[in-house]
Formats: sequence, structure tokens, C-alpha cells
Amino acid sequence: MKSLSDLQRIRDEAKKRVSMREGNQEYRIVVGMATCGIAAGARPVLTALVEEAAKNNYPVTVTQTGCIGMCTLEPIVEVFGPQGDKTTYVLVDAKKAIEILEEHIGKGKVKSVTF
Amino acid sequence: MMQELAMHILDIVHNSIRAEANSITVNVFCKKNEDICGFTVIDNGIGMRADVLDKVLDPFFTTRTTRKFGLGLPLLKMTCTMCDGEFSITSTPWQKTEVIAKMKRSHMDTPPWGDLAQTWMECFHAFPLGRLIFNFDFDDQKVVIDSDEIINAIGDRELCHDSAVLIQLRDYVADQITPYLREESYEIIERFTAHS
Repeated sequence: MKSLSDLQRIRDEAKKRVSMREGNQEYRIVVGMATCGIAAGARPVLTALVEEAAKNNYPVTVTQTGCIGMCTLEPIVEVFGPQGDKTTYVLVDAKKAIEILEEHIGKGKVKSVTF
Repeated sequence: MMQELAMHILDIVHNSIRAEANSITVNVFCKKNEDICGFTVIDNGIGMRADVLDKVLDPFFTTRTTRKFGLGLPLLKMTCTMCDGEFSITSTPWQKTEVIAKMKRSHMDTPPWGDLAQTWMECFHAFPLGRLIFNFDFDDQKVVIDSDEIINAIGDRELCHDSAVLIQLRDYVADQITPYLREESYEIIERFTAHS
């Protein structure tokens, strides 16, 4: 995109994509982005999640939050399922974030992470 | 530790969001002739009383309940003082809270800018309901990114937070500021090779 006038086209494309997703159950992904998260590397995680979700049109909304409270385990990614269930992934990096999207959102399996 | 100024900016903007501001202005500046660079973050959130303002640079002070210390501002102050710069914070509750961070541009320890477009996207993403203005002021080159303009052009606030739209907006911001930043990074490389 080179100028703001291109936004019209982007809007139309986005509307089409969002309507394609409708009917699918929506997941919500929350990334902790306080000082602790940022220092531990939450930015590449958020970028990976947003880029990957856009590329594959996963039914997710990615949001940010402040400190979740376990700074030593940052970057933390919380996945809220359509039934209100919550899964917390800790010590995430960009690679793991993409795996979480593929396994959890794509295939519906909770991915267990070993340290 | 924050390795880049872009990370510091994101961190300070998160403070403003938590302070329930509905308008945040970020000025990013770099002036070669005055040999300074840095940024200011201004918001109209809850602000701080004078007694809190005194304590805010103490790493073992925080108002949050999830942990017992707050490092964002102390770390930024440390970066500023380490790089022959200035740091200040002033506050009038619900009117204007301002954080000013200045560094000596040619100082060895001044962190690189980092990915400013990414920081813009993350701030915009974390602050869906308010107005976010980014002023980039690089010598003679000025770029203003106003979230209201973008939202008006798209015409749908919610759509702005769709992942694919966010990425395109980030690339748009990157296109606006990259020419300058590229020049800047060449200078940093030259500076380091000159020292070694």
C-alpha cells in the first residue's frame, strides 16, 4: 500500500475475508505485552501471530494485554476457545507461536510444550 | 533490557493505554545538527499526583497488583542518562501527562531505532478506541500518522483490527519512514567502524 487512497481496496478485501470466516467459531488470542513481555521477546511473537493469522485466514482475533503476572514465563500467549475455555502457553517464541496456530486453531488440538 | 528505542516507545505507550487515555500523541525526533534523538509520549489519561510522580522512577514501585515492581520508566531513564540525554516526566491528571526521553544521537550507547513501523502497528492494535497520533520528525522530513484519518478512510473501526489489514497498514507506515531510517542505519554502521 502506497497511499491512504488504497484503503478502499483493502477494506473491500477485508470485508470479503471476514464474511468467509463467518459461521466458524472464533478464537481469541491474547499476548502479554508489558515491560516484561517486551523485554522477553513478545514482539516477534505478536508479529508472527498476526502475520500467520492473516496469511491463513484463521478464525482468530489477536489482542494485547499488560502484565499477566508470571514475568519469568513470558512471552505468554493465552488462547480463549469458542466455549470460553482458556489455554495458556508460556515461554513462546515466533516459531512456537506459529505451531500453536497450526495445531490449536487449525486442528483443534491443544499443543503441549515441553521445556 | 530494551535493545531498541522502538521497544521503549511501545512500553511507554502501554502505560498511557492503561491510564485510560483516549488520546495519545507520540513524537519521534532526530536532529543531526543538535545531535539529539529521542521521543515524547503525551496522553490525557488518569495521570499521577505529585507524590506518585516522585516514586515512579523507583523500580520497586508500581500501582499494579500482578507484580511488585515496575521497570518501564526506570529502564528508559537509565538509557537516557547512559547516553548523555535527558529524561523527564510531568503530569496533570486527566489533562496532560508527558514523558520526554532525549539521547545524544552520536553516543556509542544510544540504542538503534528498531522497527518503528512495527511499534506503530502494535500501539494502534493495543489502543482500538482512542486516537493515536505519531509524529515522525527527522531533520527536515516530517511524517504524521493519525489513527483517525486511517479509521475514517476505512470507515469501520473493527475492520482496522483484522490481522491482514493491520499488516498492510504497517507496511504503509514503513514505506513512509523507511527512506530516512535506512540513511540513519548507514550512519550508525559508519560510526561503529570509525570507532573500531
